[in-house]
Amino acid sequence: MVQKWDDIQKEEYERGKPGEINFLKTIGLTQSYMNKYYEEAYQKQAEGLGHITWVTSSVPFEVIFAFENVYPFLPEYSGVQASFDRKSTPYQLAAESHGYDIELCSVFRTSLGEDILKRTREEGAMPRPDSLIVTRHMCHAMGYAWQAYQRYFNVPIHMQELPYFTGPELDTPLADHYKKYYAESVRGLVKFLEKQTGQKFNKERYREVVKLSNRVRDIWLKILEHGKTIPAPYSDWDLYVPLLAIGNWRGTQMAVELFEEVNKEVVYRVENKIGALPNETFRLFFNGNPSWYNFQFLPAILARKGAIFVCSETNYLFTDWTNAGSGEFEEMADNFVRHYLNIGIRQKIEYDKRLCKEYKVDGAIFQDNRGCRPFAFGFYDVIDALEKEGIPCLLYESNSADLRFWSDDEIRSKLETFLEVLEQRRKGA
Amino acid sequence: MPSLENCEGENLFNEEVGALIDTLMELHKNSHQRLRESKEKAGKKVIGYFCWYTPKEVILASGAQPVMVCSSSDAIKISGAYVPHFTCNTCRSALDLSMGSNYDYLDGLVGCKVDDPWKTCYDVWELHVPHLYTHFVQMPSFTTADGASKFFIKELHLFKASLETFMGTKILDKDLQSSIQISNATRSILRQLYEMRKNDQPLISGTEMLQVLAPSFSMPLEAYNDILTRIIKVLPQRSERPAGEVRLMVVTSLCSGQIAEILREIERADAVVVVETACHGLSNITRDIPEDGDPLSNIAYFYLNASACPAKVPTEGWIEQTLRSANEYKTQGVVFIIEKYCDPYGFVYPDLRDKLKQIGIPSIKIDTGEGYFPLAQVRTRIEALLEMVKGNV
Repeated sequence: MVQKWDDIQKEEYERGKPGEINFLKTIGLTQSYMNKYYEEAYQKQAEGLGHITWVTSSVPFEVIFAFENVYPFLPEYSGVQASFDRKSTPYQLAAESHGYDIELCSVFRTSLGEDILKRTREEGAMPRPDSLIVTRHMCHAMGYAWQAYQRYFNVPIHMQELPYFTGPELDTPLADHYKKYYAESVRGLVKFLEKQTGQKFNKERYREVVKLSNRVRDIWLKILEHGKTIPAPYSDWDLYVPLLAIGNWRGTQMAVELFEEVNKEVVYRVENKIGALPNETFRLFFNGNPSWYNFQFLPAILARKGAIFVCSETNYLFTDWTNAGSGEFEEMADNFVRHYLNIGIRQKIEYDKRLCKEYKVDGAIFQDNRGCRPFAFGFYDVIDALEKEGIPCLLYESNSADLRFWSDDEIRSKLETFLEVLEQRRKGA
Repeated sequence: MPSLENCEGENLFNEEVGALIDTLMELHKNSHQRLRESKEKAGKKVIGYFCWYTPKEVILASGAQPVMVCSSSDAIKISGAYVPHFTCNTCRSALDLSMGSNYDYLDGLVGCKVDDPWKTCYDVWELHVPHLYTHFVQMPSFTTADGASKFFIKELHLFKASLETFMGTKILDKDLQSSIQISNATRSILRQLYEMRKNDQPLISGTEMLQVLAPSFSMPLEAYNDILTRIIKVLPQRSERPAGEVRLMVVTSLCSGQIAEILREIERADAVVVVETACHGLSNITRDIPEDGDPLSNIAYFYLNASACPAKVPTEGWIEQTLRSANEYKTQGVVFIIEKYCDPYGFVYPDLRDKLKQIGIPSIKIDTGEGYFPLAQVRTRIEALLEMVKGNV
């Protein structure tokens, strides 16, 4: 039974064992919130009151939640969940049998396959969409994937984009015509949702949603900031679980509640000097996606030698990018455009160097994710830059949501070699 | 972007048409040398680009020679250190060649927003070849998105300003109008050539058409148009014609390194390729750039409505255009040639395949990629398609 932080007996709180990650207890709440969200959406849809929209994780959720009874769902999450449960392969095979190549986005193949094989609500399927909303600035292929969904579901689609951020520096101000373009596309989204739901855009409600969204962002930033503590109060890997929530529900009270719970536990650990890995020896940066079907494989092997992930580019995706600011559409563009997957290689280098420095990392691990290729673009130059800074790097290849590309033996061997390098360097130092 | 480095094939007929095509092929084969010499002699700047969607007319108007960086089926030497192997070979190869000695005469490179792999190639080039001119044109990916047109026009103004600074000259409206006219002229002549492929017995084979299209990536368009015009003139008098009985369409971006070899295999069997959905071919000629009014707005309008390939969303226009062409060219079967890891074609393939099936046109799909070209399998599959078609008749 997952408990809220205040219900956990502090005197019995585990302090962890050397060689094993001591997981945050409160992140388990994510699943119960997610179940509640699914239940409510299904129920509202059955009553004819709810509007289900399938979205990408880079849509302005604040605008969507400003409409009543609109439930955004992320096929990314659904695909990840199926993979996490090691149930994704039949769905992927189904999509492939319809002509979608094995090298296309693996979460897309999973979620499409769920529809082809008629995955049920009880089996964890998302409600069927009443509309589709797609943005480009996280991954270009999403436009193609959402068109494929449209073909299967035959529902209206809204397309929105933000151009690449071309810098030259990460903090270079955004040109006005970018802001205007984005704002116009958000206004288009408002019109689309008004048409689909029959509601008028409620500015009051929108401002409330924006406040909640910014609150979520602030708590999330605090949690990430605590990760800089030595020893690290949590394995950054653990945060991938609530991350799914921030990607889906920012702007909701539910997200605020969840992150406040997680933050309380993190603060408790920091105050009581409880590290997630009692023998923390090496602090690591991770860039990529976990292989969901083998989620704890990497952290478990690393932990045995005292290595722990303390920061990742993925968890930082949801910081500036989720800064809705005042809620002015132009201002949102300025924040959203610097999303890691929307910036150039120069800016990626700057970004990752900054994270590695702030979190005092000893090494970095990169996943060449052939199931989500935008992540992998630019890695070789980033690795080169980090190594020049004296940070040893490991690059391994897999497919986050398709276990057919995974090899236990190969990955274990790479990790062990990498750990030896870290140990040798430490001895040398 | 297209890969036509090895597209020379046997000339089917010993006549004037063949000689003109040979001339074009020769010009294409020697394009690097030719451009180096013209740069040395006339001091003309050469600017590379990766994708057809790059607004080439603006480069042309600046006085520079635009050159498309082509891919090849040669092994990757340089770019493997910068982009993952699971990137489509066209991108990896074009980047590879652009960073190597083949394109050492380039004065700069213009990137254009097409998809994530091409953006990465541009980034890598910009990072590792820092002393040359670079500019990235943010062409909307969702071409019908709210505000897309206004935004793109603004981007074209920035592009023009950037070129003016680099070239040290003002680009006037009349320069843009003149480059639009030249580019429209190419389209007009190519349209006539494509019309001749609609004949019951097409006047030109698919292999030859590929040879005709190839030099357009690097030649001054006036000279190219000149040769095209001569081909149009003599083609109707051609005594012998492609002999293949089955009329096929090839759906490809012309990106594949093995496209020419596959076309030759198709036409060695009892088939003739009557149309292909190449960005420089059919997709280029369906409409012209308007010539009246503000030239940059006209260029924006043209590219946003071009449907040159399924990289731009929505792809409905491109699919409709392909189906319409299948009908107009009396296509009996379709060969998809799809580069491994190519998202635009990979995602659109099942939809188009099913729509073709609904109108009674069978198809096969051939995957290509670096070092992957199972010729025997390709041959067998083409033969199977021909049998399917003949069985339908």
